[in-house]
This record gives sequence, structure tokens and C-alpha cells, in this order.
Amino acid sequence: MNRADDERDILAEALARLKGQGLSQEPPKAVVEQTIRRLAEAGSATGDPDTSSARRVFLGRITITAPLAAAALIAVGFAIGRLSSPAEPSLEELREALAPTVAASIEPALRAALLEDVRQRCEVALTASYDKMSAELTQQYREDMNRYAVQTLAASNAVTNRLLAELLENIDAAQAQDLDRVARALEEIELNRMQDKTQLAAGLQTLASRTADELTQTRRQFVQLLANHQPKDPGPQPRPFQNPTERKQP
Amino acid sequence: MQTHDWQVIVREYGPLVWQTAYRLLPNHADAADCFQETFLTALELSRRQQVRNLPGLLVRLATTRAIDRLRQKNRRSRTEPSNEEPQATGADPLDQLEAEDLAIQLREAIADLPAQEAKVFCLRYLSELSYRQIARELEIGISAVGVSLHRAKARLRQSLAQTTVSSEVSDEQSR
Repeated sequence: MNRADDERDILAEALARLKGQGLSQEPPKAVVEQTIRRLAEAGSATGDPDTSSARRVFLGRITITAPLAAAALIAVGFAIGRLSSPAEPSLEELREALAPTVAASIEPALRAALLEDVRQRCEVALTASYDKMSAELTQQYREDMNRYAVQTLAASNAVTNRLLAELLENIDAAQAQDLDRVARALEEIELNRMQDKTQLAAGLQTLASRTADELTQTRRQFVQLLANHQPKDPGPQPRPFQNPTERKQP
Repeated sequence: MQTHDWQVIVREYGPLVWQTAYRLLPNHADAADCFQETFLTALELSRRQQVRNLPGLLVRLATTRAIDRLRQKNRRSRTEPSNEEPQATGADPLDQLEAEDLAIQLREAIADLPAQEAKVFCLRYLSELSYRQIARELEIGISAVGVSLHRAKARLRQSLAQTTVSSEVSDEQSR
């Protein structure tokens, strides 16, 4: 495989990893709700297009009819006020009368707003703590993995070195034993050779001495035989017996 | 002018936008911010002009926002440690770690790309839009899409290869 194939595989693999990371992720409900709320706020702050156009038409009509209606209302109100001028209501009485109604109408809304605010704050705090905890756990996980890898490598190196040392010792011992055995075999061979040589020398000496004795005895018997069969008319004198070795000499 | 029920839109296209953001920003808070910014920007755009393809617009906006945030984060991460969330799977931890590293390297390489090349690459290979759709969303020609894609792939290959070689060298030195 060449370099271009390696790079293409790296890019394809990285893409596959990256695409696989978001597949099973759904947006959290809190994020969706918050987005909808922000969209609603943005929509109400600036106005929806359709509602704003309708509002413009409505405002146009209002500008025409409003002054007339206002003048009529003022006139009617003035007449009614003049005809039936009631006594001024007391401020305290009004406050007492309106207090229960106002409290009843505002309290649920205040309670709901307060609960929503507390819930949002809790969500933000939980999200922040979740992120922080995730980062810490990731860091700790990586450090643990690195430490474990270093320890494993060190232990395996120590075991490998010990096994190698034992193997070298065993090889040295086996070589020494073999050398010792070979040396002893050579010594035994040398001893056997010396014994064989000694025995051969003794045998050769014995053979030589016996051969010399036998030769002397044969010569003596031959001379005696010749003396016993000496003829009366001596012919030509026989030549005296010569040793074969002596005969060869001039 | 158009009227949209944004509550329905968020619920319908929320998963699409979230996946698009979360692939590039595996941090929960960043993805949530990108999610909200995408829909708010889409709301503003829908007021100014007519939207023909809302999912395409949302994917394009989410990709653009995610790439911008990724660039900012990448600049910060050169001085601060990374706090990306690990993806919990049942795989071997070492394989998972290698896969995470590879995804992080690809994100960093995408962040280093020019903006248009990064957008084209993400829309093509992460959101799987066609050349025609990408050209329509980014308002460029189809040939420009092809050229940007080719350049982006070449840069990413080079960047990933350099990162891989440097990490192998550092591993060898650490041994």
C-alpha cells in the first residue's frame, strides 16, 4: 500500500469516526425548550411579519377613526360626569377592595416565573458541573491509561530480562557440561592409546626375542645336521652356511 | 414574507441541527449554544427573505456556526487543555481512545481549513448534501464546490498525515 492509500484511509476512517459520533444524539429537552422560548421572545420583541403588517393596516384605520371616537367619548363622559357626580371613593377602601383580587391574580404567575427561574438556574449549574466533571474524568482516564501502559511495559521488560538471563545461564551451563564431557572422552582415548602402544611394544619385543632364539636354534640344528651327514670323499667343499643377511653383502 | 410555526420547526428539525452541531462540537454546552444560534439566525433570515429550503438553510447555518465556534475553540485549545466529552461505547478503551484522537485530529484540521472549504467539506461529507444543494445553499457555482472540496480533502489528508507522523515520533521518543 502506498502513501496516498494510507492518507485516504486515514481521512475515510476519521470521517467515519466523526460521523458516528453524532448519530445517536438527540437534542436535550431543556435545550429545545430554551430555544423555543428564545424564539418566542425574539418573535414578540420584533414582531412577526404577518402580525406586523396587519398591525400597520389596523393602525392606519385607527388614525382615521380614533380622533372622532375620542371626541365623542370625551363629550359623553363629560355629560355623564356632570349629571352623576358621585362622591370621591376613598383610596384606602379601593386598596383594600383590590388587594385580594390583585394578589390572587399575580401570585400564580409570580410563583410560576420563580419556579421557572430556579429551574433554569439549576439546569445551567448542572450542565456546567457535568462538563467540568466530564473533562476531569477524561483527563483522569487518559492519565490512568498512560500509567497502566508504562507499568505494564516496565513489568514485561523486567520479566523478559530475567528470562533472558536464565536462558543465558542455562546455555552456559550446558556448554560447560559438554566441554567437560568431551575433555574426559579425549583423556580416555589418549589413555587407551598409550596402553595399546605399550602393549604393542612389549609384544613386538617378545616376538623379536623369540624369533632370534628360534633362528639361533635352527642354525645350530642345521650345522649339526650337516656334521652328521658329512661324506667320506669330500668333494668340493660346501660353502659354509651364511646368514641371509650376510649373503647379500659382497 | 412567510409565517412559520417555530415550535414545530424546532421539534421537527431539532435532531438534524443537533447532529450537525454535535459532530463538530462534541461539547454539550457548545453544541447547545450553536443549536440556539442556528434557529435564531434562521428566524432573522426568514423575516428578511423568503426561505425555500428550510432544512438546507438550518444545516448550512448550523455548519457555519459550528465551524466558527470550532475555530475559536481551536485557537483557545492551543493554550488550554481540551475538555471534549468522551463518547461512551462498549468498545476496547484503547481503540476508543484512538478513534477519539482521530476524530479530534479531523476536527482540528477542519478548523484550520479556509472557511468556504470547511463549509463545503462538512456539508458534503457530514451532512451528505449533493453538489447542487451545496451550491444553492452557499450561493456559489457547482464547479466552485468541486474545487473547494478537492482542495479541502488535499489539505485534510496532508494535515492528518503530518499529525499521525508527529504523534508516532513522539510515541517512539516517549518509549
